[in-house]
Amino acid sequence: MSDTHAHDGHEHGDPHAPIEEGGTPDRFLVLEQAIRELLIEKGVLTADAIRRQMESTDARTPARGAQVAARAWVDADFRAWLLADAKAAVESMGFDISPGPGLAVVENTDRRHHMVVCTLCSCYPRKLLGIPPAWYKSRAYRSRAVNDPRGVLQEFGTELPQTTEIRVVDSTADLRYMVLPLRPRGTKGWNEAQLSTLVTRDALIGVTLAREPGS
Amino acid sequence: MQSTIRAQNDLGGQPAGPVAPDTHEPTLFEERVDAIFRLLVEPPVSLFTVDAQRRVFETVPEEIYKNYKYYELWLESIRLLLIERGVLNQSEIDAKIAAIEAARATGDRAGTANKA
Repeated sequence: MSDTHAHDGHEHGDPHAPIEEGGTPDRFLVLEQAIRELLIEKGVLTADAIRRQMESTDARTPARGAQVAARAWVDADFRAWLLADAKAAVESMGFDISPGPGLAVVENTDRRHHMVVCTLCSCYPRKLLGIPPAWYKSRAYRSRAVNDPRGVLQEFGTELPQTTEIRVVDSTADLRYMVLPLRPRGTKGWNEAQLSTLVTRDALIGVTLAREPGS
Repeated sequence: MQSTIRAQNDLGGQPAGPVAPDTHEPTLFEERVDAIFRLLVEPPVSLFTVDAQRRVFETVPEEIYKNYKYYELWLESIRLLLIERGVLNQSEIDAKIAAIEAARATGDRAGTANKA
């Protein structure tokens, strides 16, 4: 009995080699298949709806958030609208985030930095950005983001001046947050498409800054 | 005088180790569980809500909450909520699992027979 290995809990000594996918024990794969087939048989879902939902989730990526941030950087009216009514502003760009919870965008400045967490689970603006990264859902991030934000930021390589105020916003089932990062220096005259290349998923969560040109 | 009982999923401010940034890509299993959950909570199906799922996270046994991986816990929440809503019952889930495993075993034997 090894104490150092936290395996996935399948029975050791099982004569049937477990069929694992990405470390998921077989019993979960079989349970998923069973529930999926029963829901289809009962007419609750269709195989086609599941496939389309998976495709739709794949299409929702941080690139969408990057386009939103870039537009806010070049268009003051859009930025004001985004900060006041994020859902409407985002949907004006053709990104459908309905039905779904509310969306709020919080703006980083020279003096104030925001980072987003969901301490209770994994609430995330997934209708815009897709599935949250694994670390966002981790015990460590959810626990420490609220009482050691500077320490967490350092683990992402982000050092902020002590004079910068850090605000941590806690997402809920009903309201999801996205960060509008600070526009990097050295981007004067850049257009939206160029600017959007500087905005990463992690910057939209607020654990990093937008990339500097040439970095 | 106030004593607060903290739910097991209420992690904010709890002691924890360093955050390990990683680049895990969702597996097919994870994408399927995500899609099924999404379809069940959104119109037109709307069988339960994200809040109901969180209530499951608050109330499942601690060893499940701590040891199941993210989408394993999601799948467990789907199972419990579908049973709670009367959409599925455990005996039909068990029967379906048995059928899947039997089909697999038959497939395995057929594969062996073909080789012979």
